[in-house]
Amino acid sequence: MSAPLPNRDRLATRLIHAGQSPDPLTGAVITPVYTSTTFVQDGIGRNRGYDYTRSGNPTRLVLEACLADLENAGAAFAFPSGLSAAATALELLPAGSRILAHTDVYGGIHRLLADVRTHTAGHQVRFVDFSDSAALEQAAESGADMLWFETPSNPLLRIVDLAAVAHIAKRIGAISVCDSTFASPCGQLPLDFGIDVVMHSATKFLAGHSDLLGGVLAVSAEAPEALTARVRYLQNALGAVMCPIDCALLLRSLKTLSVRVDRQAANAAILAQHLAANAQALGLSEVIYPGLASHPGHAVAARQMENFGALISLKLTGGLERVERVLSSTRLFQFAVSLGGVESLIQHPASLTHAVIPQDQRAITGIGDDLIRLSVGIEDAGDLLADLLNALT
Amino acid sequence: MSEPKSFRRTHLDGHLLHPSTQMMSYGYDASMSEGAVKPPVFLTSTFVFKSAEEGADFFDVVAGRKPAPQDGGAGGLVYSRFNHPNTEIVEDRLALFDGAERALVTSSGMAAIAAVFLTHCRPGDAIVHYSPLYGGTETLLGKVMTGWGIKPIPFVDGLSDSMLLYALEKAARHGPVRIVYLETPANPTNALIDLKMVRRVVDEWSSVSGQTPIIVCDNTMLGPVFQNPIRHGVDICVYSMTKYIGGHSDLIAGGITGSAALLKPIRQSRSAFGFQLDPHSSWMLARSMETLTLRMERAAETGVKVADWLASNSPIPCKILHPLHSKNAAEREVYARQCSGPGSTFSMVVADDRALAFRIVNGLQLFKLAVSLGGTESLVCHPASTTHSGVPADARARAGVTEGLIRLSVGLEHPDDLIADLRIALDKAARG
Ligand SMILES: Cc1ncc(COP(=O)(O)O)c(C=O)c1O
Ligand SMILES: Cc1ncc(COP(=O)(O)O)c(C=O)c1O
Repeated sequence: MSAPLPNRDRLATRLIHAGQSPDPLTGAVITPVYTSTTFVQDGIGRNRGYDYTRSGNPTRLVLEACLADLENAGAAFAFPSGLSAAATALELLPAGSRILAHTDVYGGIHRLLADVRTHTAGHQVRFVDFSDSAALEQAAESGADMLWFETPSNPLLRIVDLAAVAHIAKRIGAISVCDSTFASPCGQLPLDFGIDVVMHSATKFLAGHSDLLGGVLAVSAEAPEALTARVRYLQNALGAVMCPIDCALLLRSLKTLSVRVDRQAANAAILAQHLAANAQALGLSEVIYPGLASHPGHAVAARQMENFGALISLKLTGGLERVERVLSSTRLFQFAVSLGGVESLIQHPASLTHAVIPQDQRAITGIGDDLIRLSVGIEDAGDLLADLLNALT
Repeated sequence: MSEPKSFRRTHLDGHLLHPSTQMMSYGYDASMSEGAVKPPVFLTSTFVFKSAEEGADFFDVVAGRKPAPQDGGAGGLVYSRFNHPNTEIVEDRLALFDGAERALVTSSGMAAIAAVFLTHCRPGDAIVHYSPLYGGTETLLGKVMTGWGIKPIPFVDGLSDSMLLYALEKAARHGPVRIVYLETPANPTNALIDLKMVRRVVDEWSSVSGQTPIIVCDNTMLGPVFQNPIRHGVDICVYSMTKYIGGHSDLIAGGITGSAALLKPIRQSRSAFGFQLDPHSSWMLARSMETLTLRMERAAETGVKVADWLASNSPIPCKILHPLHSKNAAEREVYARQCSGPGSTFSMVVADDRALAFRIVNGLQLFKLAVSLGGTESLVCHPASTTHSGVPADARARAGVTEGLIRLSVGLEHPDDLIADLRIALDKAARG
């Protein structure tokens, strides 16, 4: 390990150096990619710290040390996708547990909770709007073993009060899990607010180039020691590990995370303000962005986030026909699912990312056919605005 | 759709797109690759022809017997030493960013420079070059090209037309002058060359001498974000794409930009010598170029903060060789006209004392002691004992590469952390 950094608070520096020191053998500045699946043993019970790559890999360990540092976590673990990280976290619960989940979550998470683990593990899953503190308090009254939420949430960008959830979880003895995919560690640090576990789809902002799938679980140093040990045990026992080549690519991505997210959030703020100010002329019935003062979660977001993220959701007037026209007529914003990459994307949650959620449920949450989600990239803001205005008018 | 989707689109209707925007999409057509937003890595050495006729046709283009298609492409894909889709994506983006007609990617910066020399020079020719150049280029000119009968003639002041003219006349006495070779800002002194002046002097000399050397500029330090020499009259730019363009200290690559006419024979020699870049590194480069503007802008901002701090707070007296710290009015004027940012590689010069310089670099913790530059992590190096150790001592002294010169390459870390690292190391070195 290199000497401690002069200032442990500076994320920009930690993104580049945390967990990483020049290779002791060769001096290589960049972490080597250890693709080896197995390691020669020095003797019975004696080795250099590794025996088999599923259980531990030098490249993955560097990545995990860096991720733990970034999240101010006790430990972090890298998975081959966001969903495999989520699935592993759910294995923390014994069969028949009670899960209280945010109504607005990524469709795949909803499917995992409501349509897989209810059957295979007999969990009782209830959905409640976590951004509504009173509703959450009330739902928690009847008890839960795990609280699962996203903030900002996908796709409606609702803001959940991190400290309030942490408080409730402690009171009722539940494990709190925050899917922080939409914020990244450059946007918020949920563990600092008392959350037990942070989850990421590393596919999004962390990777940032739309060229790898990955997931992360970061466990608070304040959480019971048994929780960290159990996640480590489950990662190996279930076998969901990120491959070494992707670990190296993700480490490479992290080095530019702060410059990317800074620019993406700045671009999103410019676009959201322009769209909101001209909503009527542009045929928008709603512009949803936590950075807008009109957003119901704005005050909470301002308190717990470093920036307001790079996602904007829009509700369009003019029916499905217009929605489809807009989706297929932007030229810089590509019509594709996913988010958080350097390139701007536009998508239609009701027919794509959230199609697995039953329509009646979607209607209650507010995911209608008129909803479009934008993921804002690092392109020039003026170019992006020109593209959107062209498509909307 | 109001406009056909074109993968070499430059405008949205009337709106001209910025290069920073184009780095995400230009030169790649998702519809040709299953809709994939990101280009696949084409790990292939060869490409199937639809027919024998097509094979013959494609070969005519790569062999230079037929012109390449007008749309900017390099003709049909044949064999990965000649052309390759991942490489072409990078070439399209580099050419666009540099305001050049064409670009070529090579296996290293030195391969790019060598390909230019070996294509445009013959035994008996002369090359006029600025000095100091990157150490490897000095070695190539002074030790390798001389073995091929090519005579290098240096000039050391990039702002003086009379010294350039003197070098041209001196070189012409050895043989035809084929190339005027520049590097600005200079590595590691950051001295600037006035590119417009060079263009003018070369043109004037051409009209008298009848010789038409091409002007080649190594644009590694500031390009393509902060300096586009082609817009200032340079014919060809060369790059070590290992540096800022690659930007993550994890690949070696080079690039060449210029007119289609000048690059066509260089493309032939790249194919003949085998100086091409491999598909995987090409793919990594395309990924790197997406964040190029952000990285160079942030690193430059941080570099200015670090340079300013050193200039006014260093506990060991030092001179700062940073474009914004130049005391030379003529150089400042050239900077304002030619560069849109200072980059993030600069030098601090303490007393001409190797032991002192070593104490400083050995005391740094965040700045890693390694050659190279332009990565996300900050690096420090001592050129006199490393990159420029092959340059004769008198040439080093003339260029100001003293034992007290320490080169910093500032990365993307927080400026306060980098300053703290320097403060701690300098304090320790000052105490002995
Ligand atoms: C908020 C959120 N969580 C989890 C996931 C699932 O991650 P992955 O696709 O990496 O499995 C996604 C993916 O879209 C997401 O948006
Ligand atoms: C200015 C400059 N030009 C050329 C090169 C050579 O490039 P490469 O190492 O990619 O061959 C370097 C490398 O250090 C350089 O700094």
